[in-house]
Amino acid sequence: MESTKDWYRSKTVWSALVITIIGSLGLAGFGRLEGEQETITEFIMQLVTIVAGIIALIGRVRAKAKIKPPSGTLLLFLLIIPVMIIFPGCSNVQMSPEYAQLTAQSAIIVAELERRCIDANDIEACRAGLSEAAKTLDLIVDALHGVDSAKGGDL
Amino acid sequence: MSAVDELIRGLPDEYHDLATSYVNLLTDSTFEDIEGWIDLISQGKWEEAYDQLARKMTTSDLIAEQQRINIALTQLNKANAEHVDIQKAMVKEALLISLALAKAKL
Repeated sequence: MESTKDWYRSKTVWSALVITIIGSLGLAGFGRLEGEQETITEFIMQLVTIVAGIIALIGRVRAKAKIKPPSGTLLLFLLIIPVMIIFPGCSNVQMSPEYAQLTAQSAIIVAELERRCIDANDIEACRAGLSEAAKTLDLIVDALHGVDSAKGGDL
Repeated sequence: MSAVDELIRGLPDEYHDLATSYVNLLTDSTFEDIEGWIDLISQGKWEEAYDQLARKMTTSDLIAEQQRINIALTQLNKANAEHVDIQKAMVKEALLISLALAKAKL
Protein backbone atom coordinates (compact mmCIF):
# COMPACT_ATOMS: atom_id res chain seq x y z
CA MET A 1 0.00 0.00 0.00
CA GLU A 2 2.56 2.52 -1.11
CA SER A 3 0.59 4.71 -3.53
CA THR A 4 -1.80 7.38 -2.33
CA LYS A 5 -5.14 8.63 -3.61
CA ASP A 6 -7.32 11.64 -2.83
CA TRP A 7 -9.86 11.12 -0.03
CA TYR A 8 -12.83 11.78 -2.33
CA ARG A 9 -11.84 8.81 -4.52
CA SER A 10 -12.25 6.44 -1.56
CA LYS A 11 -15.43 4.36 -1.39
CA THR A 12 -14.82 3.91 2.36
CA VAL A 13 -14.84 7.67 2.99
CA TRP A 14 -18.02 8.19 0.94
CA SER A 15 -19.76 5.27 2.65
CA ALA A 16 -18.83 6.60 6.08
CA LEU A 17 -20.14 10.01 5.02
CA VAL A 18 -23.47 8.50 3.89
CA ILE A 19 -23.80 6.62 7.20
CA THR A 20 -23.06 9.86 9.12
CA ILE A 21 -25.65 11.83 7.13
CA ILE A 22 -28.34 9.14 7.48
CA GLY A 23 -27.64 8.98 11.23
CA SER A 24 -27.89 12.77 11.49
CA LEU A 25 -31.18 12.78 9.57
CA GLY A 26 -32.62 10.30 12.04
CA LEU A 27 -31.39 12.39 14.96
CA ALA A 28 -32.93 15.52 13.46
CA GLY A 29 -36.29 13.77 13.38
CA PHE A 30 -36.57 13.20 9.65
CA GLY A 31 -37.75 9.64 10.23
CA ARG A 32 -40.65 10.74 12.41
CA LEU A 33 -43.54 10.32 10.02
CA GLU A 34 -46.86 8.58 10.32
CA GLY A 35 -47.79 4.94 9.71
CA GLU A 36 -46.87 3.62 6.27
CA GLN A 37 -44.73 6.67 5.42
CA GLU A 38 -42.64 6.06 8.55
CA THR A 39 -42.19 2.36 7.72
CA ILE A 40 -41.07 3.15 4.15
CA THR A 41 -38.70 5.95 5.23
CA GLU A 42 -37.18 3.80 7.97
CA PHE A 43 -36.77 0.91 5.53
CA ILE A 44 -35.01 3.13 2.94
CA MET A 45 -32.75 4.68 5.62
CA GLN A 46 -31.81 1.25 6.98
CA LEU A 47 -31.23 -0.11 3.48
CA VAL A 48 -28.96 2.82 2.55
CA THR A 49 -27.05 2.43 5.84
CA ILE A 50 -26.55 -1.31 5.24
CA VAL A 51 -25.42 -0.78 1.61
CA ALA A 52 -23.06 2.02 2.69
CA GLY A 53 -21.67 -0.21 5.46
CA ILE A 54 -21.05 -3.09 3.01
CA ILE A 55 -19.36 -0.74 0.50
CA ALA A 56 -17.17 0.64 3.31
CA LEU A 57 -16.18 -2.90 4.33
CA ILE A 58 -15.40 -3.99 0.74
CA GLY A 59 -13.55 -0.73 0.11
CA ARG A 60 -11.40 -1.25 3.21
CA VAL A 61 -10.58 -4.89 2.38
CA ARG A 62 -9.74 -4.10 -1.27
CA ALA A 63 -7.88 -0.89 -0.48
CA LYS A 64 -4.62 -0.68 -2.40
CA ALA A 65 -3.68 2.92 -1.82
CA LYS A 66 -3.35 5.13 1.23
CA ILE A 67 -5.86 7.93 1.44
CA LYS A 68 -4.48 11.41 1.14
CA PRO A 69 -6.21 13.34 3.94
CA PRO A 70 -8.32 16.34 2.97
CA SER A 71 -7.10 19.84 3.73
CA GLY A 72 -8.04 21.38 7.09
CA THR A 73 -10.76 23.56 5.59
CA LEU A 74 -12.30 20.63 3.73
CA LEU A 75 -12.15 18.44 6.82
CA LEU A 76 -13.91 21.16 8.76
CA PHE A 77 -16.57 21.34 6.04
CA LEU A 78 -17.08 17.56 6.15
CA LEU A 79 -17.50 17.64 9.91
CA ILE A 80 -19.94 20.52 9.66
CA ILE A 81 -22.28 18.58 7.32
CA PRO A 82 -23.96 16.54 10.11
CA VAL A 83 -24.22 19.71 12.21
CA MET A 84 -25.94 21.48 9.31
CA ILE A 85 -28.43 18.62 9.10
CA ILE A 86 -29.05 18.54 12.85
CA PHE A 87 -29.57 22.31 13.15
CA PRO A 88 -32.74 22.48 11.02
CA GLY A 89 -34.07 19.67 13.24
CA CYS A 90 -33.56 21.98 16.22
CA SER A 91 -35.17 25.03 14.66
CA ASN A 92 -38.19 23.46 12.96
CA VAL A 93 -41.19 22.24 14.92
CA GLN A 94 -41.08 18.44 14.79
CA MET A 95 -44.43 17.14 16.02
CA SER A 96 -44.50 13.40 16.51
CA PRO A 97 -47.69 11.53 15.47
CA GLU A 98 -48.47 10.92 19.16
CA TYR A 99 -48.10 14.63 20.00
CA ALA A 100 -50.20 15.62 16.99
CA GLN A 101 -52.95 13.19 18.02
CA LEU A 102 -53.04 14.48 21.61
CA THR A 103 -53.13 18.08 20.39
CA ALA A 104 -56.02 17.26 18.04
CA GLN A 105 -57.87 15.46 20.87
CA SER A 106 -57.31 18.49 23.09
CA ALA A 107 -58.76 20.81 20.44
CA ILE A 108 -61.92 18.64 20.26
CA ILE A 109 -62.33 18.49 24.07
CA VAL A 110 -61.77 22.23 24.52
CA ALA A 111 -64.19 23.02 21.68
CA GLU A 112 -66.86 20.87 23.36
CA LEU A 113 -66.22 22.54 26.75
CA GLU A 114 -66.48 25.94 25.08
CA ARG A 115 -69.78 24.93 23.42
CA ARG A 116 -71.19 23.92 26.82
CA CYS A 117 -69.85 27.07 28.43
CA ILE A 118 -71.49 29.35 25.85
CA ASP A 119 -74.62 27.42 24.85
CA ALA A 120 -75.51 25.73 28.14
CA ASN A 121 -74.00 28.32 30.47
CA ASP A 122 -72.16 25.47 32.21
CA ILE A 123 -69.92 27.26 34.75
CA GLU A 124 -67.75 24.17 35.44
CA ALA A 125 -67.07 23.84 31.70
CA CYS A 126 -66.14 27.55 31.54
CA ARG A 127 -63.78 27.57 34.52
CA ALA A 128 -62.09 24.18 34.36
CA GLY A 129 -62.16 24.17 30.55
CA LEU A 130 -60.35 27.49 30.28
CA SER A 131 -57.87 26.49 32.99
CA GLU A 132 -57.02 23.17 31.31
CA ALA A 133 -56.87 24.80 27.87
CA ALA A 134 -54.37 27.36 29.23
CA LYS A 135 -52.24 24.50 30.63
CA THR A 136 -52.33 22.74 27.26
CA LEU A 137 -51.14 25.89 25.49
CA ASP A 138 -48.30 26.24 28.02
CA LEU A 139 -47.33 22.63 27.34
CA ILE A 140 -47.24 23.27 23.58
CA VAL A 141 -45.07 26.37 24.16
CA ASP A 142 -42.74 24.24 26.34
CA ALA A 143 -42.53 21.70 23.51
CA LEU A 144 -41.63 24.48 21.04
CA HIS A 145 -38.83 25.60 23.36
CA GLY A 146 -37.69 22.03 24.07
CA VAL A 147 -38.40 22.51 27.77
CA ASP A 148 -39.29 19.74 30.23
CA SER A 149 -42.62 21.05 31.62
CA ALA A 150 -42.20 19.09 34.84
CA LYS A 151 -38.93 20.99 35.47
CA GLY A 152 -39.62 24.68 35.35
CA GLY A 153 -41.67 24.85 32.19
CA ASP A 154 -44.43 27.38 31.69
CA LEU A 155 -47.00 25.06 33.34
CA MET B 1 -67.22 -12.26 22.62
CA SER B 2 -69.81 -9.58 21.84
CA ALA B 3 -70.55 -8.28 18.35
CA VAL B 4 -68.88 -4.96 19.27
CA ASP B 5 -65.69 -6.77 20.36
CA GLU B 6 -65.80 -8.61 17.05
CA LEU B 7 -65.99 -5.27 15.19
CA ILE B 8 -63.06 -3.87 17.19
CA ARG B 9 -60.98 -6.97 16.41
CA GLY B 10 -61.54 -6.26 12.72
CA LEU B 11 -59.87 -2.83 13.03
CA PRO B 12 -56.21 -2.23 12.13
CA ASP B 13 -53.94 -2.85 15.16
CA GLU B 14 -53.15 0.84 15.73
CA TYR B 15 -56.85 1.59 16.43
CA HIS B 16 -57.52 -1.28 18.88
CA ASP B 17 -56.52 0.65 22.01
CA LEU B 18 -58.43 3.77 20.96
CA ALA B 19 -61.61 1.83 20.19
CA THR B 20 -61.39 -0.34 23.34
CA SER B 21 -60.75 2.68 25.62
CA TYR B 22 -63.69 4.71 24.41
CA VAL B 23 -66.32 2.25 23.23
CA ASN B 24 -67.74 2.08 26.79
CA LEU B 25 -68.88 5.69 26.40
CA LEU B 26 -71.22 4.49 23.67
CA THR B 27 -73.04 1.95 25.85
CA ASP B 28 -76.33 3.82 25.57
CA SER B 29 -76.01 3.96 21.78
CA THR B 30 -77.66 1.58 19.35
CA PHE B 31 -75.61 -1.19 17.74
CA GLU B 32 -75.85 0.70 14.41
CA ASP B 33 -74.42 3.85 16.06
CA ILE B 34 -71.52 1.86 17.52
CA GLU B 35 -70.99 0.17 14.15
CA GLY B 36 -70.95 3.61 12.49
CA TRP B 37 -68.45 4.87 15.09
CA ILE B 38 -66.12 1.90 14.52
CA ASP B 39 -66.52 2.43 10.76
CA LEU B 40 -65.29 6.02 11.17
CA ILE B 41 -62.18 4.77 12.98
CA SER B 42 -61.49 2.10 10.36
CA GLN B 43 -61.67 4.80 7.67
CA GLY B 44 -59.03 6.79 9.57
CA LYS B 45 -61.58 9.47 10.55
CA TRP B 46 -60.68 9.14 14.22
CA GLU B 47 -61.08 12.88 14.89
CA GLU B 48 -64.72 12.70 13.80
CA ALA B 49 -65.19 9.57 15.96
CA TYR B 50 -63.54 11.31 18.93
CA ASP B 51 -65.76 14.36 18.44
CA GLN B 52 -68.82 12.11 18.69
CA LEU B 53 -67.45 10.73 21.97
CA ALA B 54 -66.74 14.21 23.33
CA ARG B 55 -70.37 15.14 22.79
CA LYS B 56 -71.45 12.12 24.88
CA MET B 57 -69.04 12.83 27.77
CA THR B 58 -70.19 14.62 30.91
CA THR B 59 -68.44 17.91 31.69
CA SER B 60 -66.46 16.16 34.44
CA ASP B 61 -65.43 13.45 31.95
CA LEU B 62 -64.32 16.13 29.48
CA ILE B 63 -62.20 17.87 32.12
CA ALA B 64 -60.72 14.53 33.28
CA GLU B 65 -59.92 13.68 29.65
CA GLN B 66 -58.24 17.07 29.14
CA GLN B 67 -56.20 16.49 32.32
CA ARG B 68 -55.16 13.05 31.01
CA ILE B 69 -54.06 14.69 27.72
CA ASN B 70 -52.05 17.31 29.62
CA ILE B 71 -50.28 14.58 31.63
CA ALA B 72 -49.45 12.72 28.41
CA LEU B 73 -48.17 15.96 26.81
CA THR B 74 -46.01 16.63 29.90
CA GLN B 75 -44.42 13.18 29.50
CA LEU B 76 -43.81 13.81 25.79
CA ASN B 77 -42.26 17.21 26.61
CA LYS B 78 -39.86 15.47 28.99
CA ALA B 79 -38.76 13.07 26.23
CA ASN B 80 -38.53 16.00 23.78
CA ALA B 81 -36.39 18.04 26.19
CA GLU B 82 -34.02 15.07 26.60
CA HIS B 83 -33.80 14.73 22.80
CA VAL B 84 -33.04 18.45 22.41
CA ASP B 85 -30.33 18.21 25.10
CA ILE B 86 -28.67 15.32 23.22
CA GLN B 87 -28.83 17.32 19.95
CA LYS B 88 -27.27 20.36 21.60
CA ALA B 89 -24.51 18.24 23.20
CA MET B 90 -23.73 16.61 19.85
CA VAL B 91 -23.60 19.94 18.02
CA LYS B 92 -21.30 21.30 20.74
CA GLU B 93 -19.01 18.24 20.50
CA ALA B 94 -18.90 18.46 16.68
CA LEU B 95 -18.01 22.15 16.83
CA LEU B 96 -15.35 21.58 19.51
CA ILE B 97 -13.76 18.78 17.43
CA SER B 98 -13.85 21.01 14.33
CA LEU B 99 -12.25 23.83 16.30
CA ALA B 100 -9.55 21.53 17.68
CA LEU B 101 -8.79 20.26 14.16
CA ALA B 102 -8.72 23.77 12.73
CA LYS B 103 -6.35 24.91 15.53
CA ALA B 104 -4.07 21.90 14.91
CA LYS B 105 -3.83 22.81 11.22
CA LEU B 106 -2.95 26.45 11.92
